[in-house]
Amino acid sequence: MRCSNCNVDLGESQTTCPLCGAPAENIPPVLNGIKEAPYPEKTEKLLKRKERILPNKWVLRVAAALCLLFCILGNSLLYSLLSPMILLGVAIYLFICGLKEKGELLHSAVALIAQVGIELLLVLICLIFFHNANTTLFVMIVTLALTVILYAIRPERFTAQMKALLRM
Amino acid sequence: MNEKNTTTGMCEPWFPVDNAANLYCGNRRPGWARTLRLSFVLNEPVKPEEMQQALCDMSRRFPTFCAIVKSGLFWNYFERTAVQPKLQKEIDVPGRSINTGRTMQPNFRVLYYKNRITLEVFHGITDGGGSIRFLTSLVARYYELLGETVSDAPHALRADDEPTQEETCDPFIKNSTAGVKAKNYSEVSVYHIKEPLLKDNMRVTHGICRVEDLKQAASAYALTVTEYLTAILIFTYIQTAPQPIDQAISVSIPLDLRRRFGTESVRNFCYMSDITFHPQGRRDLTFAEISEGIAGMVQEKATVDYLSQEISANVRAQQSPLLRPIPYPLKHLFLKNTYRKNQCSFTTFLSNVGEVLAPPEVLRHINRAEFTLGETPYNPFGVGVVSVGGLLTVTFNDCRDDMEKQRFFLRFLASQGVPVHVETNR
Repeated sequence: MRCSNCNVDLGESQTTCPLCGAPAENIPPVLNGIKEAPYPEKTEKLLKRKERILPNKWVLRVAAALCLLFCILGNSLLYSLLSPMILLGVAIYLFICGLKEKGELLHSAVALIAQVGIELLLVLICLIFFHNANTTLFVMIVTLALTVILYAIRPERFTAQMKALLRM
Repeated sequence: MNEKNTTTGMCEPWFPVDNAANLYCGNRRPGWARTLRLSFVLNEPVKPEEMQQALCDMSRRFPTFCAIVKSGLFWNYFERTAVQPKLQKEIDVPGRSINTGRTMQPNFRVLYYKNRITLEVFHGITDGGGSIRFLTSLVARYYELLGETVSDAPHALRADDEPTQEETCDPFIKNSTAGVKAKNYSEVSVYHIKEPLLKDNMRVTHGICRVEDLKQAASAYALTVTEYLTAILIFTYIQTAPQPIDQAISVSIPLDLRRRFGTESVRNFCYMSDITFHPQGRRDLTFAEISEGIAGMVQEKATVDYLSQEISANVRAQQSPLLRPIPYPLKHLFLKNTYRKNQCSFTTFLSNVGEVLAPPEVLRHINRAEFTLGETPYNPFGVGVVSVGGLLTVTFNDCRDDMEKQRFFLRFLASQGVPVHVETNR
């Protein structure tokens, strides 16, 4: 097929010229041996492909922000009970993500290390302002233990990951 | 993956991003990362099972492809992933951005639809030259699995061979020299298209012609094929602009550095040269005047000495002792700004990745190749060029809703005595 308007060859299945919209003419093409290769029809709703997702870093950020807010509010129920429970939940979630990631557990390990850092900060805040950080300290120890377990599963990968993270 | 192979330099489960990839990695956005697309149109339909097996074999052969980009405290890096890439049936718009965010999937995908096999890869992993090597090797391996005896060829790496240090190292660092100052980007005002873009709606238009016809047409103006196509592109912009253009029209021309520096790296190794033309508000410029104005511009900047200086300047900037200790979130702002300046310094791009050098047993199965760089937030319209087996394909990628530039370009090419076959995804 050809388009006389544009003076170009078109595929055999073309009914209109894609350049100008004119009807395609049933004239032998000038170029031979070109194989037609159609594209799939564009679907209105694009299918979402299922992809393995890494632990959502926003989980930790939101948890950290909430815990800091509870400290600022100064309510003992919030900072001594609810805050550690949230952090413990996040630590267990990250640990499970690490186990499920089949050798890519280091993403979770790094998140857990970050969480230990956040919990240490919260322990200090609780000690300084509220003189009581037992539950937060307990959760920090649990988080540290989970991190060590993840390290123990693949220590060489863990070390390599740290090198990559800290490379200058 | 064999982590104990000391000949490859890929013992570590991670590797630094190369010099060019720093910009691509630093400029990702939610839902967008610079993506290349290279396709081979075969003479027969793709057999998915054999192609999947070939993909598994080649993913081991190209360890730098099976990686995901991660952010460190000071720099981005690539972490090798154990997730095997899966061959996917193409269902989406072409050139859909690779998800480089929260996923363990390698930052590339291989798609098939009827007789087309496509590689879409994040530009941080590789460039056009590296994409050609991967896809050619993949297709060669596919035909081996189908029973063909495939001979050696420059772009077809054997699945049974181990990856080498040469293939996986950062070629920019390897080919840089000390003592060169970092460069500044010029602030010349260039013309940009200001039209609304359609999201998730990339249109690709292919203009297929014979290499010999094109070379003959180009030689009439004493131009190379790349310069000739660039001249047509500039002419197109001048003739189709809503008003006469006062600013410069700058076309970015990536240069493959592998041949010039004698490296076989499958990572990024190209230099962004450019051809700039000033229409000075004239619409009556002839094609001959434009050709004369741009002749030799690429050759001037394509010498090994000049390129070596440019590479060294970029590497020096990256290795600056003042820059290295800065935490990545701050570096990110600098990289974003550098990328934006770089992208805004040209009107459009024309990327000619050259000829695919596949084994003859594979070449007879490949009808043609197609290459496109994909859209960016700054340049919605661009051109990719690739040739194989005597056929050259010019591919336009466009996120706007009109075909005026493609129509003018291809009609003009046909009027120059170059027979053109047109296909599009719409």
